[in-house]
Amino acid sequence: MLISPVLFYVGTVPISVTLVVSMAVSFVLVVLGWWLGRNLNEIPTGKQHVAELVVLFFKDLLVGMLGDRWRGYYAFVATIGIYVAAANLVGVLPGVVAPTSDLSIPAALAFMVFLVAQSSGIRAKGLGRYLREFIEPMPILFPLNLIGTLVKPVSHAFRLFGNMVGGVILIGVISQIARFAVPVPLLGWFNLFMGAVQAFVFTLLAAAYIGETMH
Amino acid sequence: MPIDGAVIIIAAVAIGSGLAMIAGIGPGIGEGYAAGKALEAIARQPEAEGKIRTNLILGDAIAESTGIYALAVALFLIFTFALPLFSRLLAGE
Repeated sequence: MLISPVLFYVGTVPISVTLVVSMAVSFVLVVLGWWLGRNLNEIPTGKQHVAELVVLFFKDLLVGMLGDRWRGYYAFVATIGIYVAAANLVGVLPGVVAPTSDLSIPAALAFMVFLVAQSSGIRAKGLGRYLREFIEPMPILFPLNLIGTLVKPVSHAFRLFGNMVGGVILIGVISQIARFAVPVPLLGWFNLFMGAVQAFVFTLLAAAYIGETMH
Repeated sequence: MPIDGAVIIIAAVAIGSGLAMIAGIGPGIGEGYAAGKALEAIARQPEAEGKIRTNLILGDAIAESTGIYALAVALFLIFTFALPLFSRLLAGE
């Protein structure tokens, strides 16, 4: 149940349902981004309002976390935020399972955030000070600091995965029992509300982890 | 249906995953407490509501991870041990 069914093989690489849905979501977002970004003018008209709303939402979030360095990480964090939100919300469609309910996608995103966070920490503080931070305040605490750093991406991925898969399983079980009207509010709750909250939390934590290593 | 290894494993997994979910108490209490404090903070300073809400959601998310670990343990127990045996049991062996 947790492993999404394999649709077809490209050479030896299995392409699963999650991957196809994830690619579809990314494609739709790219087209949407291109369409929204066309012929912008000074006084925003209809679609530009929405685009500016989203852009400013992520800007405020990042300025709060990263201060003056936000511009360098804006694209990365905003893309993750929009993608995870779209991936969570797409689960509400009948028959479509949210790609984030497959551990591979949240784990990949969390690992990306982990790499960016550590590399920006090294770039900002220099390798020496970055490594010395692991033996702050006493060398005996090195394992603890190390585990603290490594648990972050794991909990980051598991938080998104656990919430989404919990929703999928609950809805799967409930829809076996009560066929028609009952799963709809549940779908609404888990995929819409929890999906949006988890996407916000995932983005917030991504910005927080990147900001944390740089200070 | 004979009481063999499969039935014992399924029973153990059922009990184990049930016990794992006891950890759900922690986030429940913690997030409830945090929300209460956040409400007090908003009552004391309504104009800071935006900041308070953001930090409340962030705190809730981090508090929730213990509950999610419990859920992950329960799910992995069920789907790695009990699921393969279910098919055999349903087939009536």
